[in-house]
Amino acid sequence: MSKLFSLLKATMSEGVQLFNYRAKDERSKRAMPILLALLVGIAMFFSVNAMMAELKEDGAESAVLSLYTIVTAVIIVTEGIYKSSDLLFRPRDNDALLAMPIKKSTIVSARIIKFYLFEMLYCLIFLLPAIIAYAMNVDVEISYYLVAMTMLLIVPIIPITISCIMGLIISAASSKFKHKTFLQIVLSFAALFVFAILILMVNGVSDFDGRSIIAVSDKITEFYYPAAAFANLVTNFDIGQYLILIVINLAVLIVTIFIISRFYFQIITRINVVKHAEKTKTKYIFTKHGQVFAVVKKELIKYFNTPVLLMNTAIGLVLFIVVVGALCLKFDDIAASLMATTEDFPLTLDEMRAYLPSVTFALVAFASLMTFITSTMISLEGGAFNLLKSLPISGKKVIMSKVLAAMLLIVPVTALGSIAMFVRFQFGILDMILILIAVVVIPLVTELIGILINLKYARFDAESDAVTVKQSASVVISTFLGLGMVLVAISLTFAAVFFAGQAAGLAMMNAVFVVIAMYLYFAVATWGKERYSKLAA
Amino acid sequence: MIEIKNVVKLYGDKKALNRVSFTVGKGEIFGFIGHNGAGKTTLIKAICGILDFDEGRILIDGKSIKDDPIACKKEMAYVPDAPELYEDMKAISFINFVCDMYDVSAEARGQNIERFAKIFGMQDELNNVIKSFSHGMKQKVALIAALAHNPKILIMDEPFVGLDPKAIFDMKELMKDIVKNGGTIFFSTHILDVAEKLCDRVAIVKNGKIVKVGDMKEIRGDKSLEKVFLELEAK
Repeated sequence: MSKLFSLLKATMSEGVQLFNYRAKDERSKRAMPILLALLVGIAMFFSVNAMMAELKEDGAESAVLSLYTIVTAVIIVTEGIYKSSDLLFRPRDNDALLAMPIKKSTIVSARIIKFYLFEMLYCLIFLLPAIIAYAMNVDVEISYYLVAMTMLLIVPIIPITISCIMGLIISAASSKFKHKTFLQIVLSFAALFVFAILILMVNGVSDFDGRSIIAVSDKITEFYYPAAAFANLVTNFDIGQYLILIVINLAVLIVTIFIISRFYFQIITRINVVKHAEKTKTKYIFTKHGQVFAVVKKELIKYFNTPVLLMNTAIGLVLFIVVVGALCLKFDDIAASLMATTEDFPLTLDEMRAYLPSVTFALVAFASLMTFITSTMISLEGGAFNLLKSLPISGKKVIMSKVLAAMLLIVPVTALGSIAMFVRFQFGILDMILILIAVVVIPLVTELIGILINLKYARFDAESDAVTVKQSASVVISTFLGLGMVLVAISLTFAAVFFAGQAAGLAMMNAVFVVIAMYLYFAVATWGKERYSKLAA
Repeated sequence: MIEIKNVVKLYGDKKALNRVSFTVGKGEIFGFIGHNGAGKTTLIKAICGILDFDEGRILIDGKSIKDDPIACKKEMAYVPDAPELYEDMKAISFINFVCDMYDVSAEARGQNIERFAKIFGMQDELNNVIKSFSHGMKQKVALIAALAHNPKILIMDEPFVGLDPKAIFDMKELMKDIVKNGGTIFFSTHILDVAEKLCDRVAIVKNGKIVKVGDMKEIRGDKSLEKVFLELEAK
């Protein structure tokens, strides 16, 4: 136990170190991720509070607790599936730890507990506001606080164990093959897809019309025991059920640790075996390229060889493809079901079709603003950053090459999706031009913001790429900022279209993004360049 | 070639480099010696433009690394102490990447890469990804990349760490060859025997201060370099 504690202390201090800016001029940096998390939490609180008012009329306030328990669990599983393989099996300190007289189960326990502690963030952002809103709207007993505190602690356990088991399966399967990274990416996407299908299929959740929170809550409690137990314990506290809930969660955790420990060494060994090409009298190809081309190529190689980065940044683009595909193939059905949601739906089918350019613009904004690829590109250099800095290339060129590399990953997807919409729905020339401008300008804004955030919060000492990509201050800030920007951009787009007409509204939004992009470029050319020159690994 | 004048580098309140001054002349092999944490890597990083410094000047061939970093870096090549390279790249792609940064023509890089790969026994390995290499092989890739653009000044931080005996021998011969052709080499090392046999001049750093600098013969006198170093450390 003492070894586990020491190990946990060591690994946690390394993880927390990514948020620890001790130098006098860097202390203010600690505040930003906390402030943004707090803002999202407060926004969640107000949305839950509004929901509570509706539920109060039906006397079903506890439904909100079941709902937010499952929301938190789904978020943790979704992002845990592709993170767990790297966090469990690829930390850089594996060799050092395996050489020490520590049981594998102790190492696995430390990894999982660290994973659990970081996932607590989602509990604090999504579940805690629901717990507070409930306490403020309902006359709760003292047992409520005990149950609520316990739930805050145990809600991440089952989701992270599901993620860890999926991570184990993905790592075990992919480690057997030569192209481990590629297979890990494919399997992670497949696992996410299967999970999404399961969520939709379980007891027919997809059949809901989306209007009844109570009905959703009832369905959830049928298949997810902790969510049901939470609602039951709050309305009718029973010490037996309370203890069963705790025991079930702990048992699941212990069994998971046992299973992963059983295969830990074999998987790590297989992962570390990199296929060494045969020694051959190879004729090497020597081709000269420009500096920008070389850096872009290097960044793309890194991107496609870092599964956690690819998975983390591809979600917005995948959702974009799914929605565009659905619109192109099933627009009439989607429109009909939307119109059926309320008797006085404000738009006719033709009007909805007429607004499709705005919808496409909003989708491009969503996909682009959710895809902060550059927010880890400096940190992911790791120790090689020193080597990069020793080369005769200016900081500005390096930064802009990274932005360009990120744009090369986003723009083709959003451009092709937009073109599919143009062809399918016969957009006008002006609409097409305005959307294509957005396809270039919005990702430029996102990636310039991402690189500036990473320049400010760059850390080169993460224990693995997964930690940099999922748990660094830079990523926390860009994630929350992206969510906020998506909401603001989409709201402003529809407001502008509503007040000024479609073409003028979209043109105004493009103008706003162009001005922001110019300002950000100026920031990169001045502050960014200066900041780059001061960074060292 | 390299002029270091009153360089001060602060880490918080601690002076990692305390008014460091010396000059490395053209065609010299200059050894930089000191205990762990003495400031060797800090100075090397400052010379290469990796790390900013608080006071003083560093001139490379008369140009300031602070004012004209790109021009200075074009003259130099840096080999880090730990070969932290781009692990997902093939060795040949990494070397080509470095050559692209220095604007080396396809023909020149082809000749140089093949020459140095042969010297380090890597000619049949460059198509492998870097993460499949051992520490020593990564070090060799870093060296090939550094040498591929014919730098006037080669700056190396502990270049012999991780190399096998043959590679160390070849490296020493190569260093002599480079200075014979007008190049300059500045490197840090803990291997005092190598420094003693190889270096024309040497500087000894202790707690961020230069405690001795000059010709090897002058510094050593009739003692070994190891003895001189240990005596200085004991003071």
